[in-house]
Amino acid sequence: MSKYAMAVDLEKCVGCGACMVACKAENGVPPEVFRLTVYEIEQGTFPDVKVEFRHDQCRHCEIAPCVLVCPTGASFIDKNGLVRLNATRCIGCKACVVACPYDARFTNPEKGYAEKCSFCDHRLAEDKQPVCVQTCPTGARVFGDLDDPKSDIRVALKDKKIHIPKKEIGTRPKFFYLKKKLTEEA
Amino acid sequence: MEIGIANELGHVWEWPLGLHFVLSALVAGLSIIAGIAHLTDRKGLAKAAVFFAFPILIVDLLSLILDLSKMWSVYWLYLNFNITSAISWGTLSLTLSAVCLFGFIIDYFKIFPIPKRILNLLAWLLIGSSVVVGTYTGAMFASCLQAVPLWCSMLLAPLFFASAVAMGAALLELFKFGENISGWSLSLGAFTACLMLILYITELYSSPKATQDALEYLLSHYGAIWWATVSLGFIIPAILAVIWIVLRQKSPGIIGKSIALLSLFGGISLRFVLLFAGQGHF
Amino acid sequence: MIDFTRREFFKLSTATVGALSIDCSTFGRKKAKGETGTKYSFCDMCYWHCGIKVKVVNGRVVKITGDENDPLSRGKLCARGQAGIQQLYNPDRLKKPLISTGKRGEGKYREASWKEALDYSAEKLLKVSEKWGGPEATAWLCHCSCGGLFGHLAAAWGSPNSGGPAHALCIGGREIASKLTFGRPVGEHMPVDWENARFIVLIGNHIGENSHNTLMQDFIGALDNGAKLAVVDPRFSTAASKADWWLPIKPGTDTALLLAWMNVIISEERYDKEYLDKYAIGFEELKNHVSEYTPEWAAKITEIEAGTIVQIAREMAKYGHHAVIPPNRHVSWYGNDTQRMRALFILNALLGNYGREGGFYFAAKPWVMEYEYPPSKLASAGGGCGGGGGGLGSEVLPDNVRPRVDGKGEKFLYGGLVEPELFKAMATGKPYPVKGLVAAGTNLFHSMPNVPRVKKALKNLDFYLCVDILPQEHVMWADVILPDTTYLERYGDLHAVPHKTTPFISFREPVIKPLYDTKPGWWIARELGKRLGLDEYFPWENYEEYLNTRLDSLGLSVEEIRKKGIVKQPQMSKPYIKDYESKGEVVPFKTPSGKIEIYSKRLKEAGLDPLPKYEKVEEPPDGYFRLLYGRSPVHSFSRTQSNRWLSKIMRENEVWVNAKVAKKLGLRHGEYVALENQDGAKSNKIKVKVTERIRSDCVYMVHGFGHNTPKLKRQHRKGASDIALQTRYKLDPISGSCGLHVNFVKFVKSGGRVS
Repeated sequence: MSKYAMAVDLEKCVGCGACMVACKAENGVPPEVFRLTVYEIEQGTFPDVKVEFRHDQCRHCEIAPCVLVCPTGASFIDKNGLVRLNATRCIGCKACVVACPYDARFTNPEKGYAEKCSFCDHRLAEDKQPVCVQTCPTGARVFGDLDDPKSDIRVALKDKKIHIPKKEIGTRPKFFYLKKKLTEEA
Repeated sequence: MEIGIANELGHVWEWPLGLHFVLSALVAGLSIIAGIAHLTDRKGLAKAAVFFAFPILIVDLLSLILDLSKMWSVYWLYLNFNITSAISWGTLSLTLSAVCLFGFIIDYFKIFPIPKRILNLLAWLLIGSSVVVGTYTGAMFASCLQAVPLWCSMLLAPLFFASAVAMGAALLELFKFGENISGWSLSLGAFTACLMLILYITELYSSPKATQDALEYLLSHYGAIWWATVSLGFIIPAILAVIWIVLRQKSPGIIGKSIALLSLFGGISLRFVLLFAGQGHF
Repeated sequence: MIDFTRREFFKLSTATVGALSIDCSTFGRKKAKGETGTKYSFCDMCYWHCGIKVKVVNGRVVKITGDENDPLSRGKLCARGQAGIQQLYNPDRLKKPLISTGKRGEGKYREASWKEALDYSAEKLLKVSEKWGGPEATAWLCHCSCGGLFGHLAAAWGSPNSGGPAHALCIGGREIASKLTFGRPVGEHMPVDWENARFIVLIGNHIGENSHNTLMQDFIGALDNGAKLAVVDPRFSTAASKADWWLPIKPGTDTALLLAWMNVIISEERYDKEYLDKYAIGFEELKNHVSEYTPEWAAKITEIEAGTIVQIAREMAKYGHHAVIPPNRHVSWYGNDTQRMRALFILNALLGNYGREGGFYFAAKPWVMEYEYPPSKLASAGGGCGGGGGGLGSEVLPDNVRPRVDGKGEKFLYGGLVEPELFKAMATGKPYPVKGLVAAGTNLFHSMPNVPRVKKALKNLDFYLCVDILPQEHVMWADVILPDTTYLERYGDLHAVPHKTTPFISFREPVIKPLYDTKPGWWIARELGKRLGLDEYFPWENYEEYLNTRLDSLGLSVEEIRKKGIVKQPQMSKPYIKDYESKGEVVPFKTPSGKIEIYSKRLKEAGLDPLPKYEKVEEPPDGYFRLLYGRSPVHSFSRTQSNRWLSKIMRENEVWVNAKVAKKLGLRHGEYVALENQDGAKSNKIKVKVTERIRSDCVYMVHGFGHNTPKLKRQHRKGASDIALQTRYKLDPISGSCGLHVNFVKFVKSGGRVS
């Protein structure tokens, strides 16, 4: 029983894309699609400009719309709080793809089922970090068990402000942005 | 910057699902009329509704399957029930409707006689399942929480249901055989649908920023179709319905035909516009 | 925003959510079946050469990970490194030796056997040598990815016209400046003591966008440690987004800013006097020299407020040797590059930071014996991105060898081959005709300015041989094309990496057998060498034998080193001045004076400025914008645009244009336009990026796009090439660095012209 969560430190991310490719290689994601995407937000006017790199991927919400709308039980929340997918059961109705507020799900163009980030559950089983966290050159990605006070994520969350996009929807995502000081949401 | 692609989701739900929504509405409307007509002893009307509803239901189920990207796994719909999933409810109710309608067809073709008590029970079941069939497509939209701002309204469920009744009645009015559809049911359907739509639009306008953006998208990309749908498909039929009730005509006549035609157009158009505009990018 | 101590937020258990959904935790991932193995190597997706672990399942590479044991990658790897798999399995790769059957540039080929292709090539090269007066008539352009053996071959044969574009079109100016000032190269990995730095100033340095693995780690690490950052750049780069100060400098005026900083630091006596007295010469001359370069003077030139200039100078000085101004890599900007970089190094010297904590460390090179070849006619030019070929010595050529054609000694003073000048010589036949060309892993149409002249030069050749992995445009002009293997299919030379604490040697071996009918670069060089009668310079039978001979000097063998892929020599490390002085050793500033040479006698003697001066650069004409260019974190130069994964992340480049300018010109974000330069060269269509992140006098695009070759499906006609718009360059009189920021462009809409 763990409560896994992930965070991206916006002050450390330089948008190098290592996480995107690592995920693809590790999880055999078809070339056309990504389980994890990084994009850039520009704010302000010259010369007072701000730029941040935002990340979209499955947030493993505690109240997961994708699980709520799944008719077959293909999407489910496991004992570690991970939103997981039983590909056999998935019929490809795409209700979860539409329901996800973070556009984290997509239909696997080769296999037909609804894909998404798994927090690398197969690596967690071997006591390894998710591959995007493992490879991140700047250490912007942090992962761990929220119930364990000594975990990387709890340590990282301690001295930084937390920002949860679309928090008002109330899905209780387990993916955060970290910053010393928050800028306005674009 | 250059790095920063997102998966090109585009329209996740495509036209087969829009077709499914339209056909489900017709099935729901027809079935509920069939059930009520049977129980109120208007056998001719009931028969007409059943004969329309059953084949539409078959095509309807096919259109649902057509939209699945892993359609050979469709049997899982029957092996699992998720109480929070609109599709689960939809599958269940559509199947139940199919069984009930099939019961009536067996009886009508006298394949083997079904006792009246059982037929009455089937009629009640049909009414019940039709309410679910009529509302579930709306609920399917609404259950997307705030992921899709345009759909983020539970009012869509009663709106879709009222419109479904209007569409069922309209179909029977346009292609009448056997007994006439009562003008009351036609008018009531059209009127309620219009009321619900007005409520829905009012809600949209008083919603948070995301919905306002979505609304702007809807009006800029689908503006002409949207307002045509609202005015021709809902407001005018409602006005005609009031006129008809005031005139107290027995048979709907030309006004009835107009209500029927416009309601059908409104119902179909509303579903497609909401489906596509909802998934637009804003 | 939530306060994390209020943990109720997370307390809702999953049980209330899952309702009727069935937990299928028994559903597991299928384990990869078959033979699984991990091999060590080092990456070659760029010149950083991170140590990697390659996972192979059933003879297929499935995953490349950073090696935790490697001081460069430290277990991390960038997007490109991990996408190496898609370079290996790129379906567009060259698969068989090809011999041209048409005219040059027509692209008509027939397949040939290796024997035929090699025999034919050697015969042609010998004929060129015979007809045009010796091996000098053949030029050799060899870059990292094919290995250094082609440079060795050129030297053995006797052609001084050999090198790689890393010098003149990239780091040459920086290396020469550093050698002139500190008597030390900057080298492959920039010896900046990031972990102790407290104040960092980046000038045109795109960390993050150039995605050098260790650099990104150290840079962000330094900021995380609390280092302050000022970024000087006409464009709000990724690095600028992390900065405390962004100074949007007017392009081409960096030297003025550096001189003004020196002026403030010296006039306010904020420099490290003790350090300069002890380790530097020429301070008094500098003091007089910079006295006229006041912040007010610089403000007018750089368009940065005088107050800001003073403030940053004071901040910098406050941190003393914990403040550092790291050099960038690609410095060939304006043809004054060596002097600009000298100004940068001198400013560092004023802070007293070379050989001190928080500044630059002395990068110690690990030791391994070189292979002892018989003495050859010439020294090998090298040509990797580590800065080879940039010596300050006046190499004396043997009497029987004609000098380089690029004008070294006349047009510029120091450094390796200047390729654009080589192509000029090829096109004009002066000072003597160069009629043969071997290009290995060097993209001629996407790295050389003035492409029309390069094409003209190629048409003048008697023989043109290409060794490459992909059918790039310039490859399909060659008379013979030899398909090289990728770095995952071959041995590579031992890579000795200088490092602060752990100098080390990394090892590359074939992870899988070569795909198709491709051969490793070392094999091709050896076979060609043998056919040119140079057997004695290739005494080893295969590369394993060569490596074993070198490794023997460390008491190792290929068998042993492959277990870890790396040999560390921490005992070699002596990062700071104090490490030398405590042992009574000489501090290794290897200048003639043995000290930091602020005032350069050598430049004075050559008739050049002994101290850096500000020179005005040409302004763009009305309606034109200065064309700046840079890197994307997911692409390496022009090599990776057809990579299946990377091309999906970044398919095409965009031209960045200031939002106000865009409004004035009526350019919409996302629309396609073409660019036309001052000489009328027109680009492919390119998407407009309207942004607040750039000054209004320049535009910017990522380098390496705009390939026009249907043979590379994923990169054909995607984006525009900056090189195609760089029809001119300005030659640096010291290093021969070819300044490319001297080209101007205007926007052309498909319908008509934008004024």
